[in-house]
Amino acid sequence: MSAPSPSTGSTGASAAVLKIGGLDLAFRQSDIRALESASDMDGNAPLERSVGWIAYMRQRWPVYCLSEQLDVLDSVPPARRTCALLAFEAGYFGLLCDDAAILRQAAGQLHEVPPAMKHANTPILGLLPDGEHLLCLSNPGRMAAYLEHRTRRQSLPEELPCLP
Amino acid sequence: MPAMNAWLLDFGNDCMAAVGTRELLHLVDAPVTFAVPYTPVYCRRVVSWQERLLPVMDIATRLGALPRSAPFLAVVGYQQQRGEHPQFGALKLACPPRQLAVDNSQACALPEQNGAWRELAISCFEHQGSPVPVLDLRRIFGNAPRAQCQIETGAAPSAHDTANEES
Repeated sequence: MSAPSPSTGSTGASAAVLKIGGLDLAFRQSDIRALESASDMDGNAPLERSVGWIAYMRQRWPVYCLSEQLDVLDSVPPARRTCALLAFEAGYFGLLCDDAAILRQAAGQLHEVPPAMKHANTPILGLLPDGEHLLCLSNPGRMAAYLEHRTRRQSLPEELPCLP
Repeated sequence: MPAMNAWLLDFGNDCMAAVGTRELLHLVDAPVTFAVPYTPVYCRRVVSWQERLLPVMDIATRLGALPRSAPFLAVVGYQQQRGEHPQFGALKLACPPRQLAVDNSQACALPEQNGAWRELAISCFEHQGSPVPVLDLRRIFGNAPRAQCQIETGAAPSAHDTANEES
């Protein structure tokens, strides 16, 4: 019999919080390699479902724009003024956000995403209440896998039954 | 007078169901909830309750209604397996629940007009001429959402270009 586990522990590491509409998307601070103005993005010939390129380390890397529900957007809302460059094992990618902030130490405890709401390929690894906000924790590798999943496949509405 | 043994829950949109009296633990009035991204439309938010984050389930939306805000949440408890510690979830309610006394003579078939009840209910009883499904909380809160139906379009999002540009 397992012990009750309302949370998965606490996090003491500082986090970078990307604000995307009403979503507070948090990464470890060390996951964010650069913060650039979205106006520095090159919008010419973007990869399919990306919105442009950002330059870093003498190369350019695709930039993605997400809604607060993490839908991949093909056009950039005016509020997305910042581009966060995230590092993962295969390179880098940019994620547009409204604003970015450093959180020195979140006070709350880390919770798992409840099973009833957790899609298998979700990029959200945990939930961290922080005052009146809820931080949704991710990491660049998981987010890159999610972006690959969402951009390789065109989603049908979730509630439509699958056709045989 | 028969003992009360069920709570009648009104989810709005003429959608009602019941749980056992011991399954409903707490009624939250005007709850503060938080959105979680990339979640099913019927379970998009969590509520903080006793140092836990509970999924907020919208049964009416799960049955096809449009999502609406709810003035009440019912905190419910269930066990994944007998003898294990209880798990918890929250159900959106349109109004406070009412207690009922139910017996086996009221057993009836699940409503036929909506097949989704077969995934949500463990049994059903008749009350004032209408079928009232009894929720299977373990299944409702313990199972992951169905995989999204998707079609291939083909793109390579993680690929990068190697143009000579300075950072």
